[in-house]
Amino acid sequence: MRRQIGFIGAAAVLVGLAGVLSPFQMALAAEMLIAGLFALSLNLIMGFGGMVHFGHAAFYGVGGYAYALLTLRAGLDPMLAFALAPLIAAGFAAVIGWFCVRRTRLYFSILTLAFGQLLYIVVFQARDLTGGDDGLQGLRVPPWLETEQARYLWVVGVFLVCFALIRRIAASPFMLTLKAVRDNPERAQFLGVDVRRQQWVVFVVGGTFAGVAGALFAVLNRFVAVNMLFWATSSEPILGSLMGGMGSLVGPVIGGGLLIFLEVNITRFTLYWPMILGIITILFVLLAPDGLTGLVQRWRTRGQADADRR
Amino acid sequence: MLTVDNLSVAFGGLKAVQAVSLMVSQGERVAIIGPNGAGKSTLFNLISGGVRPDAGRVVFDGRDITPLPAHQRARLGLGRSFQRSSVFAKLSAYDNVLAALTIHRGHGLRVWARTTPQRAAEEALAAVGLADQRDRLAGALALGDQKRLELGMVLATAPRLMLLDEPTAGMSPEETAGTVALVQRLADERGFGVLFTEHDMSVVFGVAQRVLVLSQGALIAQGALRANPEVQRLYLGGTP
Repeated sequence: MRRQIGFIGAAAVLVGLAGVLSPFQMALAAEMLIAGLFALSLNLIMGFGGMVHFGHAAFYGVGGYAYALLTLRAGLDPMLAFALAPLIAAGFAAVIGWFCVRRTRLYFSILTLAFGQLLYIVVFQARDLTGGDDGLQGLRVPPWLETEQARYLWVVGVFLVCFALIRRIAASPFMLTLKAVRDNPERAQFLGVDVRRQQWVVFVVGGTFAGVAGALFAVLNRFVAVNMLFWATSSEPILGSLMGGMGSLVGPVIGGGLLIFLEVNITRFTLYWPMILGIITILFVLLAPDGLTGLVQRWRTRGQADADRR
Repeated sequence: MLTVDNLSVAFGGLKAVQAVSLMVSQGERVAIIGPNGAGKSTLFNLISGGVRPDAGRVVFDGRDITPLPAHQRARLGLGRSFQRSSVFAKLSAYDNVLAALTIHRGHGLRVWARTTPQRAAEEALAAVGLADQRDRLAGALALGDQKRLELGMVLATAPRLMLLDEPTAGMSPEETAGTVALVQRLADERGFGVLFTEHDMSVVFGVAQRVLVLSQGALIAQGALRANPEVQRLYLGGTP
């Protein structure tokens, strides 16, 4: 019940902001939500599945490019393209994931990195189709998404639907079983879990939502860039999840969004954003490995303990 | 219930298990003893599916399970515990058992459903005496409690044969006695068979109806323990 109120409250605030923010601020807020969704999609795999995934940007990029190519090259209706984009990302995740889950830990991570970079190079090289390093500009969007405000509201709506879906999935028997696999794959296997299949499914589910985030990016900005697939882009949801806290759903959303917010606002004053990002990352890893939500949790339990003592 | 037929496996040049044959009938309690390195854990892995044999067969419940992977064997009712306690550390004790139950029921891939509280999970937790630790993280439990929790998890999968790899390793004498009584009681109540390895002879004689002796990968004796001179040499100090 409290969670429902929290969700509805957050939804009301996000919608209400459309009447308050300037177009620039709305674009920034939409970017933050997309980054939050992207981080959340990764956290299903990394936080719940314990699989460190260095190639998640590939599916973000596939989502974006699928929307761009379907509207630009295939002449599809933008909304149809938007609906198909996550499914195409899911298809890529299904094939790539099938190979990646055959290895564990570091070897899994290296495979995801390699496949991600492979897709990046393919998009980079297929100039005729993808525009290469120029990306694809001037994407069509539905006529009712012409204004900044409408696009912001569209991002808010899709984000909220995805968050609700992911929240439900996070409470499923599937996720409980996945967490068991994360904590102890051997024990889970000898209780009857097909460990690879469990990991493969979450890989595809996470890839699908990354595809949604990528398609949202394409609609919001009306362009896609090959950097969307680059491995450095994969580090953003990792850092976002880390900063926000991998133990929760809200954490990665806050962390992913906060990174964008800081990047935009700090690069206005200094070109040394990457250095500042590095310092922030180090501080989090050393001082708050459970992220912001972990800090809040610790602070709350301490408050509880104090209250108990009194 | 379980028939192991001429099972062999070698790692490199080491013949870890050589032509071992054994049988465990329904509800029977059988101990496998032998010095360190005798191949007990390897034999367990061969039976439960962690290691593939070079030769031989494992038949469970009339079915040849030799080609089956470990998770499918578990689903047929072949439960096992590990020598070192093996739990889901970041889940609560209750969620550990609930996960086991979810897996047993084949609900592990239900993405679009809710986990609902299960009385069977509470019961399995209570059966191993951990009802009062319900909400503690499994990783924070005492070692003996972790081993009991693991037992509760296997119990939740309604096994027909439990393979216990040194169920009392690392336990105090009191914990050991408690675990022995627990395994006895559960096996009595639920009628599952137990195949276990153990170094503590009081546990072996307290639980097992039959004892198999493994040495250098081969079964050297079984059954009437005290009459066998080789077993006496290995275990009982040489003099009858």
